[in-house]
Amino acid sequence: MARRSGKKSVLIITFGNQDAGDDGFGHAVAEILRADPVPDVMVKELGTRLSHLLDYAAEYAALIIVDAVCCPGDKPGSLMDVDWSDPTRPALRREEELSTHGISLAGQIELGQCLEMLPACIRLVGVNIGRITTGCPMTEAVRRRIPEAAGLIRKHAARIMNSL
Amino acid sequence: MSNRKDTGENKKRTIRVGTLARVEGEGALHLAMEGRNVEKVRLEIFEPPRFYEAFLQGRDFMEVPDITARICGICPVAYQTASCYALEKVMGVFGDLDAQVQRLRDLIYCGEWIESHTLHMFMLHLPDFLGYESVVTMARDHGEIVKGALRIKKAGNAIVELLGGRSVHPVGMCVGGFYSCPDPDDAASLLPEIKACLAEMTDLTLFLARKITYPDIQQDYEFVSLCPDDEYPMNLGRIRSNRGLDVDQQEFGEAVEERHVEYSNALFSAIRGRGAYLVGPLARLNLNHEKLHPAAASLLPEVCTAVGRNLPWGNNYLSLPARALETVHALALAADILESYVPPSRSRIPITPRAGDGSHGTEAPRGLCWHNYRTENDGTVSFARIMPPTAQNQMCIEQDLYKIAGQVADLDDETAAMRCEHLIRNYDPCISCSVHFLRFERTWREDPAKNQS
Repeated sequence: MARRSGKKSVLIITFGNQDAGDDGFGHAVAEILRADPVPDVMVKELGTRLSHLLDYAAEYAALIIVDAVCCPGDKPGSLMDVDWSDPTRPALRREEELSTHGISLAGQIELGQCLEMLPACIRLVGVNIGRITTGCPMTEAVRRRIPEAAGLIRKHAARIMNSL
Repeated sequence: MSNRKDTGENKKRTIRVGTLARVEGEGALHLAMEGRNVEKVRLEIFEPPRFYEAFLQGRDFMEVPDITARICGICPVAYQTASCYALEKVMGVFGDLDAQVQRLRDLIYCGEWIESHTLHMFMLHLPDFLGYESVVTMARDHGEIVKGALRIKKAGNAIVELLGGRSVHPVGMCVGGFYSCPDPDDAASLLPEIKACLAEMTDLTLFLARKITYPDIQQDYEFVSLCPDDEYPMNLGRIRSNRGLDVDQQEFGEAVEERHVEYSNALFSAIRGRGAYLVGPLARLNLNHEKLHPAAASLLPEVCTAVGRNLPWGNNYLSLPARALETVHALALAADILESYVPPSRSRIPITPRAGDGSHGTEAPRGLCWHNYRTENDGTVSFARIMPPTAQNQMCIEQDLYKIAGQVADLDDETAAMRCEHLIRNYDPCISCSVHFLRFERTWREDPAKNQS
């Protein structure tokens, strides 16, 4: 559905490797969102391909990113819900603090903003990882945050759509 | 991070770079130096083994392409094509694919080359040559170049999505062909953008050739790649080198020996009786340049003039213009295939499982990706062997580092580390494939000769 801006509405992009323990958080959240879709909201899974972000996001009025994150000092399973443009959000700009995928999410967002290839409205919903070993299951601390994260994303999507 | 134990140039010092940026995977680099002499170079790949070859055993042969595609997020098509062709040999149907299905395998591979090459050239490697920390800082001064590259990369992903159902870990290919073939209208809708990207990539190739100064490090590599008789290498062909290697795909496993070294979880590959060999864009171009698509071939003379070297190129920094030419090739080939696309009468051929042994390698963006499988009567996999390109290039990477390490001895720690990282990125290494973060460590030992003087 095109909004007044001529752009599509809300894009939810999830990242992570479903075969690598807590890094499967984004995939698990995507499955819940797809099972009960929010009208006019697109859910796209990009696995570990952070570099694909700019392929899709420019067409949308708002972007919600879901990923497992590594934020030193936080407990595994702690949920992060930030407005990327909020100057008081946690300092996440250092690549190694935010990404497990070689190219950093922070770097991709900075690149997209520099090239005007991203919407102004960007949110990040993340969970702090405990274990991301390939072949190991997700930790309980992260698993129990999945429904909560999905609910939070639905609320954000609904609020953003009402504002467009 | 740097730890200099003494300000004197002959004293020990250690440099550690916690993360080698802009590569896929985790590993470490350790240089030990005695004065200006390089004592030891180790590319240490400590990412844990992922045991794909082991857990393929006992799986049905039809599951293999989708499982092996999970080995790499960047080059899943390479793993799918290599496993499909190898298993089609096992099942006795290799060569029975409809010609149009074969063209579609070339098309999806074009998509992967376009995406992977563009990502590496412009997001990961070009900042080294232009003196930027990253593509983010580079984009502030060269925004139009980065935008053009992102457009081309997106087009590559669109091709993979057309045939694979999705651009990340595509699932469309199967042993015997594809599960389904694209609708002609969907294929036709990609064509205008692919043609526009071809024009854009042509300009970017000339930019890379004319505007970049490439460090001149000549090495006497043995180049190894597929060498089909009538096309630029991608999916098919014998495996040849510039030093006489000329083997059937099945024989390659015997021609190469894999060695385990204590400091790496990836096996080192060597030509039996000779040693290191190089796979990837430089090898492909040197051995097959006369088979480039005319759109890329027409650029080659000007590129050679601009970089000051005729082929063969023995300087791996020139892998950057080699990748650019290959991207032009892939875009032009993709346009040809899309333009002439007619859906095949069947997307895949029927297969009756049987016991057998089959090997095949295809040209992943970073080099030959070779697979060997054995199956039981019911098609259950009993043995799997996979040689990824980065593992095959490990010895060459170390030899290049030996050569450059002596040249960076007089540089400060940070600059020396950056030069070594730049060199490693020539290989577009995918450490995740080979078994993720590269740490850099350089240790200087006292130079006895200097102490005596």
